[in-house]
Amino acid sequence: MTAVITDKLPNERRPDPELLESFDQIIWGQEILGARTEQWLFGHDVVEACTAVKGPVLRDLLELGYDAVVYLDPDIAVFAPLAPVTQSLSRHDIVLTPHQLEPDDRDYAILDNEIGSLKHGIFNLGFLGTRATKEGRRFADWWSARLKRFCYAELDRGIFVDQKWCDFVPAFFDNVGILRDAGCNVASWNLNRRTISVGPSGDILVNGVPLRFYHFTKLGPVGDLATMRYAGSNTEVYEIWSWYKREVKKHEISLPNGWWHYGFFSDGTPIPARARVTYRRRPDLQEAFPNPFVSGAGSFQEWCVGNLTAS
Amino acid sequence: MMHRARSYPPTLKIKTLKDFWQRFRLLLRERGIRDRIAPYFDTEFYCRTYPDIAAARQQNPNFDPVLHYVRFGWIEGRNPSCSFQTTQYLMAHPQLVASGKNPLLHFIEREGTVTSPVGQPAPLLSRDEISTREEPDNLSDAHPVSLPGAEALTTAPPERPNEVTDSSKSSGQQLTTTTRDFRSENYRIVAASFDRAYYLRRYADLAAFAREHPEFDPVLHYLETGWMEGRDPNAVFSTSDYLELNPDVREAKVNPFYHYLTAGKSEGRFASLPGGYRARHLRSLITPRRMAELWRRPARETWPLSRQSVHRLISRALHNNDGKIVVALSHDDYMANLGGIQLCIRREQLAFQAMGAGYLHLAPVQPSPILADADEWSNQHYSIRYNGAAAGITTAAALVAAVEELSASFRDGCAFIVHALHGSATEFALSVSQAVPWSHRFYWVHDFLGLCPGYNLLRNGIQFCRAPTLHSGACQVCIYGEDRVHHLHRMDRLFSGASFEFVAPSKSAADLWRGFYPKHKVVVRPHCFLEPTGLTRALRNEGDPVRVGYIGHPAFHKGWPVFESLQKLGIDKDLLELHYFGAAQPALNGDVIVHRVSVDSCNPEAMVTAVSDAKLDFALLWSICPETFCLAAYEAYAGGALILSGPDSGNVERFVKNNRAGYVFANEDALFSFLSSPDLVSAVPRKPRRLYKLRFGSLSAEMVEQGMVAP
Repeated sequence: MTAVITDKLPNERRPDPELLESFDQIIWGQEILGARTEQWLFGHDVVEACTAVKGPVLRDLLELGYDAVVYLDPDIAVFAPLAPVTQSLSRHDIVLTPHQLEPDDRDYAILDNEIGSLKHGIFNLGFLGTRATKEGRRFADWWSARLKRFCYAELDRGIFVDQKWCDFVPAFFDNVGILRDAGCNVASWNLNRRTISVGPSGDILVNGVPLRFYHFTKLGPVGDLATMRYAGSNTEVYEIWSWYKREVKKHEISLPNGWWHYGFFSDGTPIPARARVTYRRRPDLQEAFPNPFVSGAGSFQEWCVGNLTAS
Repeated sequence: MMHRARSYPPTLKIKTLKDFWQRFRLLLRERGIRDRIAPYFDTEFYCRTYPDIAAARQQNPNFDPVLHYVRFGWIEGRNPSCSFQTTQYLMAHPQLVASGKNPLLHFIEREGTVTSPVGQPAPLLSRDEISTREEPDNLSDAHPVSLPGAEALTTAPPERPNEVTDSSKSSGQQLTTTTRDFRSENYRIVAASFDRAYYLRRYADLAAFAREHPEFDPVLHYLETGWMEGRDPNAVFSTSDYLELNPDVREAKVNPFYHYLTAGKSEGRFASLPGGYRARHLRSLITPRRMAELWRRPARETWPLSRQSVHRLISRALHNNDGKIVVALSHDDYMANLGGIQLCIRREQLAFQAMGAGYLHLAPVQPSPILADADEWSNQHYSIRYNGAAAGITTAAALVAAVEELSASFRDGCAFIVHALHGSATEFALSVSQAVPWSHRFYWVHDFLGLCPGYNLLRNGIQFCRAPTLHSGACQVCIYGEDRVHHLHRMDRLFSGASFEFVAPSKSAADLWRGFYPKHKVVVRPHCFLEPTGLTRALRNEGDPVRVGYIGHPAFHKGWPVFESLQKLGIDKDLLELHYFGAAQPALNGDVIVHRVSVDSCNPEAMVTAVSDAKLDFALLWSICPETFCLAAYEAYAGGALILSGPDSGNVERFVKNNRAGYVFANEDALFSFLSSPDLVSAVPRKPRRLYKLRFGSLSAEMVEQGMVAP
């Protein structure tokens, strides 16, 4: 079990060992990006950065000798053995789960879900399975290269971080498995087609098959509304959400509100989105300000104050 | 309702001297009106009720809400205070619309009093009086003047009574189109989906007012104030749920029903909380430990009996009863608390006494819904009753020590009985069990604490779980799951070490218990039986509504939310009449007929009598957890009522099916469909209903007496 974390704790604090004891190793995202890491990180917001490192980490783990790598988003909880995943990986080199498995039939669901997937990607990259085969490595190399350069939330350009890139996977690569198990990657975007129940022996089921993993996207009021919108009277959904909220609360650590080390200039000022976008699109600024996080006279922060209107 | 406050001062263009004087006179007149009505104008209310007014006031320090009301507010139908309803007053005085006279000024000049909806004359409050008046907490406590929404609906008689009728042809017509113009679109849209009959059936206070004031418009009431009071426009839409689920609507302060009809519905927003009462209950879920903390009583100074004192007490009891003593453990003081189990224990005590045994009852002083911690059980305080009389408080350690010391004095026929372990430590029960060579050790399955810390077997408090295997997904996500492993470990040690004879009050309870503990032998011994009396109760009268009642304590797991939902359905009272039978005082609709019934040892059939006297047709016993017995089912049937129940109700379902005593529905929708049917009365049996007597058992006493022990 490997945790990939692209962050630092406040005041250079070391993580509590107990927190990370479930993991065999921790990979710090900022340590694997190579040259110009600070500049690269400055050009990415937290979602962009944390999804971009998935490509290089996948590639490196496959190089380390693992037979296969299964990636799960941090807001996913596993409820049963991932047999469908391992079975699919035994036959395929790359395994993906689509956001939806069947068409919607109501306008608001089509707008939310199908058009949402057209914009953000057919497959949900909260899950990914890759085998250390030639084709699997070829995918990891390609994805890593794309994410290093184009892992942005720029829907107007047809890019949505790491996820939309994988729309190409069935076209570019052979032996791709599309995992169509209703118990895998259950989330608000497919709840209208999946009913959660509890069997007589206490197994949690989705459309009658075991719930393997649930994706608790957007923890908070927005996620609650999205869930209610499609769970309706399926109270079992609210039960597992209630459990998830309790678990998150139980394991939360003390951090300043909205903390991400790379979200602030060195003086503590939050970095505006416009500053990031401008920096990453302007090689001249990158040359002029090789340490964009630094505050003070002659800094990129100072340049932004004088040159960028308020964002 | 969202309006933009009209600009001020007025923008009458001044081109000539004539224009100037015209404007000057207008301003003077407005100023005069303003000053006259100002003492009766509640600025804070006006700003609070109309956010655009508040915004205008914030943007412009010179903005005068009173002047706004004089110029525009009354035309827009706004209210100057909570004790004056502009629109209703204009409807009663349609000539004001044509004349342009300010309604509040008209009212002040005429009388300055208001007849409140409850018929009590009350003065129109001046601003100073308004500001010192306390807001009512709920409708039933409202001062007549301040009854929200229905208050100040003036009924001042017209000066010329006929004029109202005469003017209906002209200004009445004008009234219809003019006073509702300001929100005619809102009104039209809301009215099309508004259930006027439901609104009056649901809210008895408004129904009473409407009977006195035929001009009362429920739609207008809802638009103006009803939605702010959390009232619902029909049986499907929940105003409070919609505002809770949609913070954007709440912050915009728009009428939620209007929003739903014009935008929310097409956006997929819900008319009420999805998942209903179970989802609502889940939102307030707390851990069992937190629940135990909430149960914690303030510590009171007590002087527990010493070990020597307890020794003397038990020694005396043994001496007086030839060494035959029963020690019973339950969750509370059965003599001080009213309930089914408590009455059963009382009967057991009396029966053992009749058999020549002394009865020592122990109950933890600190009640709890879960087991007491294992760590400090020896210091736990227990109240002792001997043959029903209070004998003091002592510690668990003192009890165990005394019992151990006197072990040799316990003779044949002694019994240790566990009725309930809530609030006790299993370690204490095990110690008592092992201290004496008891003739009998009984463990009663009154609930399922032996299977889970959630003694009702309700997963997350909302869904019957069937006591699944320990490491199942269901246990993982359940609020009781985390504690269940340790809980069952403690129970296992108790059951392994105590050699209990397990007794259940019903076969359904026994079956469920054995499903988890297959090696346990469980004897079934019901708390009571039905004994035919040979009597029938009076037939219902032709045309009577079908009478459906809730019996007992209004508890969530007993189906109280389902009964509440019945109240909200607003079913025609001529077809369905709702009743409540019990000692509690729950919040009820005005239409529910309440029967205060207390069942105690002096009157154990009080409920049977009440059900029979009321000619109850159906008793709603919608337990969502498996009842181990359910005395209410027996009481209802004995009193001549049939039972309406649902799945997962345990012994209720079995009782209904075995005795053909009613109906078991697959779900609540099926129940509501049944009760909403115009043919409901055809489901009521036409034959006279037989009456029964309840023949109560004495629990463990009769088992000892009759030699009914586990094979």
